Amino acid sequence: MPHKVMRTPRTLDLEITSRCNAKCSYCYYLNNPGVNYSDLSTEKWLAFFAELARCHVLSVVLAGGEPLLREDFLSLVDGIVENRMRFSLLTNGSLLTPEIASHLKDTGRCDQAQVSLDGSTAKIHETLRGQGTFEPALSAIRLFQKTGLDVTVRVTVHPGNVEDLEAITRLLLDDLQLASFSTNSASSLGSSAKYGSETLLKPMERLKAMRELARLSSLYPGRIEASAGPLADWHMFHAMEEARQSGQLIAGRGHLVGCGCIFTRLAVRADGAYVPCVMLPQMVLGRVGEDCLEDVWQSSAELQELRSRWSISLSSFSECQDCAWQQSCTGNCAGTSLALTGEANRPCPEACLRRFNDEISAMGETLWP
Amino acid sequence: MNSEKLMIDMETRLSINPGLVLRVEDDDCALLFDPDNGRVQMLNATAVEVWKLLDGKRSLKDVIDCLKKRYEGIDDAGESQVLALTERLANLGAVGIWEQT
Repeated sequence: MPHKVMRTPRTLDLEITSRCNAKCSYCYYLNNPGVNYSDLSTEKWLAFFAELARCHVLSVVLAGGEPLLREDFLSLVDGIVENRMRFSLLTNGSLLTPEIASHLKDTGRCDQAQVSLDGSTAKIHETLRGQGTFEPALSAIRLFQKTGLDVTVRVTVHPGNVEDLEAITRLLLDDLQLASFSTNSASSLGSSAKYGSETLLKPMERLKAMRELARLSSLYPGRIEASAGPLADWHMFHAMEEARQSGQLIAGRGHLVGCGCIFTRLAVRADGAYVPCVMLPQMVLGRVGEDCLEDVWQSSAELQELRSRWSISLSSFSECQDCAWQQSCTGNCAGTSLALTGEANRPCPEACLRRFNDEISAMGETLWP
Repeated sequence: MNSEKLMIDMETRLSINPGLVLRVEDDDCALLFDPDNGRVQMLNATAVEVWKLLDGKRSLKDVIDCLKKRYEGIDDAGESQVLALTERLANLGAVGIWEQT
């Protein structure tokens, strides 16, 4: 195996509730037929946090659903602190109160709070997130700031906000003075798979979003981040083209190395199912309270199989034959690949440069000016 | 813990900061994690051995004697390295003299 597997994961993504008070049409989490939408009890989460301490896990990400919907949310936070971990929070902000914000601040253990915001106006933000969600999100960002917590924003790029990217950047970086924000886009998972055409970027929209975010990134250096979505694709595709033109290989590429999380982190669904990643919610590896985390991490056959993807050459896939970018490609996300092809250990078609290049070329466009 | 700078010699009985987490990643590497500030220090295998021996009861000389029993060839230079390591850990607040509770 090309990567050493550490004894236990460093970080866990915890979906502490399956409930949500928003109904975002691109939610990767809801509407997944392979997921059981129920929540672990307080006692089970607290017992699990003690297990995480015994496994020397360093940090957790609290997500959902909407984590603040849990009435015991602050008790769970206290359990994390007592077990010597740090935490981050992903929220839509609607249920944040000054008391909750102060409690989080007082722990001294909150790395970051992330609020979802998709537009510079209520009309745009609420296109796919539902009515009445914009003002609470803005208020939450301000409250986190006022409390002195590190706050960031995730902008999910979709057909309804492609034209708003400059305005939202100005709102977040100029008006609200955030240090940075991150972007992604909906993938063919959960609700997005159900409402696809409304939520997924079409090729020309995707190209427009890529160019616009690249332009804005140069105006705000280091302040617009992306590990997936149009901006990440833009950087990835340009690096791949540069490698093709120069003939210089990018170390490790040419294999299914697009997913590194499986070597350092694990996720737990709200019902207590261990899964490799939130993007692979149907791949159940075991259950909290029944299966020991360390055993699952080290011995799960599904996880081992997933980790083996790093040694699978892209040349072994028919769709990668004769591709000019094969040696600089990573195959991208295992989760979207499973959703789209039925196989996790296969290149993800959604992230394929050749396919995207063909699509936009057919419309007279090019990625390379 | 006493907040004054700690003078360490072979008779000092150091103990680990109980608020820190020692995370052994694999046979060669461990992380010393302070959850209160998120700082992480890398420790090699020898440093982990020393860390585990610092129980507040053993002097630094006792620690070195333990290491000598486990490993051959620890000489004066090795002793100096252990002393330097504990001084570095003390400066980081990772080891010190804590009142026994």
